[in-house]
Amino acid sequence: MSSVSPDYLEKIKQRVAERREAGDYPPGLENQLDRHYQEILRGFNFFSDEDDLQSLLRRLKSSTAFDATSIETWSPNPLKRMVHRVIAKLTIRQTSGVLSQVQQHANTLNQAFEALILLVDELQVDGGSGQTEILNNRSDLDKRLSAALDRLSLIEAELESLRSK
Amino acid sequence: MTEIHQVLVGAGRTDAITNMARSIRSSLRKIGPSEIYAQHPAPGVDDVYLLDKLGQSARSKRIIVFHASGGNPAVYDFLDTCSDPVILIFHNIAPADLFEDVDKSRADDLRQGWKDLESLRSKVILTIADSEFNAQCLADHKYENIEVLPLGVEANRLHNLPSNAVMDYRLDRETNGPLLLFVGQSVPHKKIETLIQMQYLLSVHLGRESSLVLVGPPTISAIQDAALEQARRLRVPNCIFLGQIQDDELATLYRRSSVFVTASLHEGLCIPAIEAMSFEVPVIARRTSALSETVGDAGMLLPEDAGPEFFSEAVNELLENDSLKRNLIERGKEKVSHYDSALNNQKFLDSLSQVI
Repeated sequence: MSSVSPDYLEKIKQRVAERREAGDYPPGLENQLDRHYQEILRGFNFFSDEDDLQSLLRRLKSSTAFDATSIETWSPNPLKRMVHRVIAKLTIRQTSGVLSQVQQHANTLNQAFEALILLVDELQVDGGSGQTEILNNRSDLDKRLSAALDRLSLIEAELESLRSK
Repeated sequence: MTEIHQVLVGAGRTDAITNMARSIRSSLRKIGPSEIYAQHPAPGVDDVYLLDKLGQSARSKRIIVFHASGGNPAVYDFLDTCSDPVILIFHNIAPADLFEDVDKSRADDLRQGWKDLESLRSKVILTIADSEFNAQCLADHKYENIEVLPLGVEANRLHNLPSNAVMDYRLDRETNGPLLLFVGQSVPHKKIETLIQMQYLLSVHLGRESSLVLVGPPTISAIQDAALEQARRLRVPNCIFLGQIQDDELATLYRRSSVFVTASLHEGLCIPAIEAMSFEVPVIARRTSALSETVGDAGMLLPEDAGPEFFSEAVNELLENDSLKRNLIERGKEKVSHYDSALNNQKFLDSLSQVI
């Protein structure tokens, strides 16, 4: 088997450079395409600090329902299984007592977090108006850039079809 | 008799790591009881049990084979609390930084995954990495005596499947020119947008007729949605997203592909590239992570920072240069011969017999 020519990479590099020089690949094309993609990706926004805080709070709430029946007593060994169940029954008063204290603590924590997140939201609304304006302007600019890129693509396609005729 | 069970984070019908576990299970069953358990088995996967069913202790001697491929606190909690020794098979963990802006909780899980992997070290009696790159990553996290073994990789597993007539029909109707194939999840480090942009440059700037087919689950749907939207806005022709497909459909695609192309920035092994080479499809990838060894000189390895311009020129070169293509196909066949699952699984059993 003959060896693969290592020259192919150089050849490709050179061809890219030639196309850039000839204007086939306009300057900054790759950056432009990447910015276009990033702008679209932002449009599918699935994550923000606020959403994350709210979802964390929801997760916190859903994980703070304590219940003695959630404590696993199952074991593949039937004897151990029985022992676990007997111990669970014998200590139910103590278990419930501990769970009740933990539940009270968790409820207070939840309320504290809710109040804190409300405060953060208010701070964002009051203190962040300048930033919001900048973001809106930026978003407008992004939209205009995308629209321009779309139009350019259309013109390119039309030119291409004219050239082929 | 010692029971040897495998533990995965997720399991799917066509998922690569689940398929590797299935191959390993058939070898392990020669020496004793062996099942696969997962924290998140996909619906319809009936040969993998829920991890909860495994239980934290057993009457007979038991060993857990853990496939580490990401962060999942629940699985590490399980491993931490159970008393069984662990055999680690490391498939690598995706770079968390790239997930930061798209899925923060996943990024946190990935970071935690490395920490959990370090804390698991004291329980591990045998460490296996499925590539040299993965072995180095483990060594960087203070693991020692790492055996490099691409376990359970059945490079030819799709060869006996018949072609799928519906897929054939779709490809006849919806594609033009040579078929460029990508197989992988829609996650940030796979950079599927680079492939969309490559197809755009190929068709609009180079005037080359080709079709780009992307296969794989939309693990982070926004990534796939945004790539699709860019293809739509740029009016990229012949760009098809197939999502997750059946094995016979995938076999059909490999048979009809001219090039397998991936712009991925991080791979622990890259099974689709191995499968492509087994179907005599030349591979274009970046010279990065495990791709340098999985593909090596059997593919076109582009610089790590190659952009869509470089990718489109590479595709163009490969489609025009017959001798280069033939050479890569031959080298690919030779490369694939290293992935002999029967031999590698036997090596695993030999290593296993020394630690149990």
